[in-house]
Amino acid sequence: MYGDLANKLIIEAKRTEQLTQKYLDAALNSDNGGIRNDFNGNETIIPMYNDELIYNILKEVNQLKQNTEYLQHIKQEEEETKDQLKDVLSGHSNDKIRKCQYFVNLLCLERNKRCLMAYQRMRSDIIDKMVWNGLIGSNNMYNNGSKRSGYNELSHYEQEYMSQYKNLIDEMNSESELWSSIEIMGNMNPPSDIFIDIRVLKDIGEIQTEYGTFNFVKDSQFYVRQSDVERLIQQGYVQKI
Amino acid sequence: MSLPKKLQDTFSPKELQFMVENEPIKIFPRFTTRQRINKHSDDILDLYSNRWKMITMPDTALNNMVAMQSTTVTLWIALLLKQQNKCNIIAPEWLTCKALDRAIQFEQNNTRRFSPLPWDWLILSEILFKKAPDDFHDPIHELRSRIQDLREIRQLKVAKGIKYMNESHLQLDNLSILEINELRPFISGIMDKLKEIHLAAVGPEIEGDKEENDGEEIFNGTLRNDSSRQSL
Amino acid sequence: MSLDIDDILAELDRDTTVVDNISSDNFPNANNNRHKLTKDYSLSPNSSLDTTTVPQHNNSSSGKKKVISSIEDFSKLMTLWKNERCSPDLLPYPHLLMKRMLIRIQEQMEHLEILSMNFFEAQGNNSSDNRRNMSNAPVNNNKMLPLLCMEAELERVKFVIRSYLRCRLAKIDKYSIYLRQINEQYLNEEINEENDDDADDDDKENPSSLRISPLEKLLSPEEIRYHQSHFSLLLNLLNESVLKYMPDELQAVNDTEASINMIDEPDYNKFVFIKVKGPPNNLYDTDPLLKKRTHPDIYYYSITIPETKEDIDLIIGSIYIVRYSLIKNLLLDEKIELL
Repeated sequence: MYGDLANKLIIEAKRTEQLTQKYLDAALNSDNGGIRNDFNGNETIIPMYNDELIYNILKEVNQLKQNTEYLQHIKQEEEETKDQLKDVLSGHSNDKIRKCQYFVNLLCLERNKRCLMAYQRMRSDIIDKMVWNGLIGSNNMYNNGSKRSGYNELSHYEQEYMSQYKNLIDEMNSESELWSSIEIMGNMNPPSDIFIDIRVLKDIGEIQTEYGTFNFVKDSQFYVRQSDVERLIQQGYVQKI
Repeated sequence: MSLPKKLQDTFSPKELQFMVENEPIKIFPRFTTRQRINKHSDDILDLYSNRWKMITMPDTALNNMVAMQSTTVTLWIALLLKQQNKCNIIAPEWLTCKALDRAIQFEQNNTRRFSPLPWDWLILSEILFKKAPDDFHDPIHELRSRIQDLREIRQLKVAKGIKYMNESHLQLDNLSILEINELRPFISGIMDKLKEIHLAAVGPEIEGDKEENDGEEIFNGTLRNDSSRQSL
Repeated sequence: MSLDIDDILAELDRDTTVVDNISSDNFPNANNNRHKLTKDYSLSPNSSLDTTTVPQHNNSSSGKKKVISSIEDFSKLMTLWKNERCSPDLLPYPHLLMKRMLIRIQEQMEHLEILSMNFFEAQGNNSSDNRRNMSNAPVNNNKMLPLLCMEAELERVKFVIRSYLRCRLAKIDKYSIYLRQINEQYLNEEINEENDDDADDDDKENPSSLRISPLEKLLSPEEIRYHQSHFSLLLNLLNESVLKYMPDELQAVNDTEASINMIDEPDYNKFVFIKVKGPPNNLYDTDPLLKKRTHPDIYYYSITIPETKEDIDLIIGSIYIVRYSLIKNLLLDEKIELL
């Protein structure tokens, strides 16, 4: 039935949205406030662009388009001959049926368009989120030559969109004094515990920070800027007390 | 979207805490920052590092602290000093067993009103219990249980008040920020629905009128594909 | 060292702070045409320290000079942030406030850099091994405390602005087409009104073609650029993957003729939580909207629900849940806040 394929697409869109939302929420709840540095390239954030289904829906669109054109054509012909045929009654009911057919076809067309647009917009929203969450950067799968497999999930035009959007944000970030000085791509959680006490778990050696050089010897304790040691905490070299 | 979905409808608990941290609170500093004006010193540190120059709060109090003389600072500064053992936080007057008992009494006597606790009572008490538990005169578990009682009484009151929800408006004086934030999705969701039903019953033309008054009705032209397709 | 930036900043604000039309504070060029503004007012951190670069206002009739302290600015910023997060539509961008905030942030960053440099130099002079001792227990040294607090404060300010701006960007994305339409409608109107005499005082001096479009009022220059660029990227994507396969009559991205409107617009009737603040600066006597009941004295604003003609009294100090559309003007006039 017309519209069934589009239904499938919407169900898929809904599932995709829930899936990615879960993932991105987890990112926000992490200490980094939505910025993921630990992305390993194996996780899938966005499911594969459903080429086949889209293709079939577009085929249906084409069919519907032809239907409406045909119905219009018939109607025109009928109107031309209407005056000659005096059978008002049967002409009238034929006209009604055609109008109805035409209308149903048009509604299906509109609906297919809405579904396709919704699907694409939902995916572009996810791509936007990925850009803002720092998932599209220099050191992850979407830009890393060795892990190019990640591109496959996006359609050709989505890939293009993604890199253009990322460029836009980067460009504006470097051109706007305001954006860059407040680090617009930064943490979306309010700053808390900007300075923390840490214990060093493994010998690391000297670490250079804004507050001078720290000699991280095993079991020593420091009061440091959390952002300075974020990576060391993740890697398990130091521990928050 | 540039704003995480979770943050689009409401504030996160961390954000609420952030707001509360900007409120003033009284402390007893354990050190002195006030300097005699003609103190002779060529130590660069005294001239620069030892002065507070703040951009979101008054810094005179910070630059004039005297050990064990109470002063008022912004909460997050107080917490930072406390963490460093540099001050004691003076619990606000309403956060004593006696005052809380009075508030509980009020809640019980007034079935349709909330007691006039500060807008941040739940969050502030939680912060202070956690970060400055040794700064209370009253036993902390007593305070905690009273806060919990208050919270439950008020929650019950809110639950009973649900029947007053309508499509027009509600007045909710003395509801604190945390309580509002918790209720927000529920209450505004229901009231939005009630309003929709109501408008559907009254007729849609009125809504149209109002939008015109706002001067922001939609422009009905269409943006054709051909005129805006840019990179073909 | 930065001396007194407040004076310079107040100079910038002189026109707008004394005008009692609040919206003018949100928008800098109420009294000046925009070309002039972008040239003269674009402050770099350097020029802000140099009094001579501050333009003299031609509108010197507004004599009162009000210094806006950084503390007032921050509390206003907090309010704007909360309002933006709670309101269903996009609120006007506070052009001047953001300029001042940027200058303050940059100055404070410079100040901190100088401080920490001096600090370490002094430490280094005292003893060769001191750097390490210091870092072992930096805050046990009272002298380190202000520095830490100032750093922390800066992070807090940056966070609020970041969260505020990104909330706005999210709304700009959400209502992308809607915003475009508001602007197109305005531009069309402008062409029609090109030769009309405008009664508005401000516009008499400027040709009407230099009037400010709704988007320029609502958005910062960055936001305008973001809005346009992102929209065209998105349109391109939709064209390539969907629209170009559609029949001609269905190729528009903003189908309002079809059976269902496909444009997301703000829900102006959404219920919001508000706190009634009263007139800014407690100017109770000069607020024409403010009504008073006696015994005991109660001040309130009255709003009316259009379809039922029901009046609601919004008493100062109270909290309400009401439809956004009913209180939007009070919000823009800073007489209420969203919670």
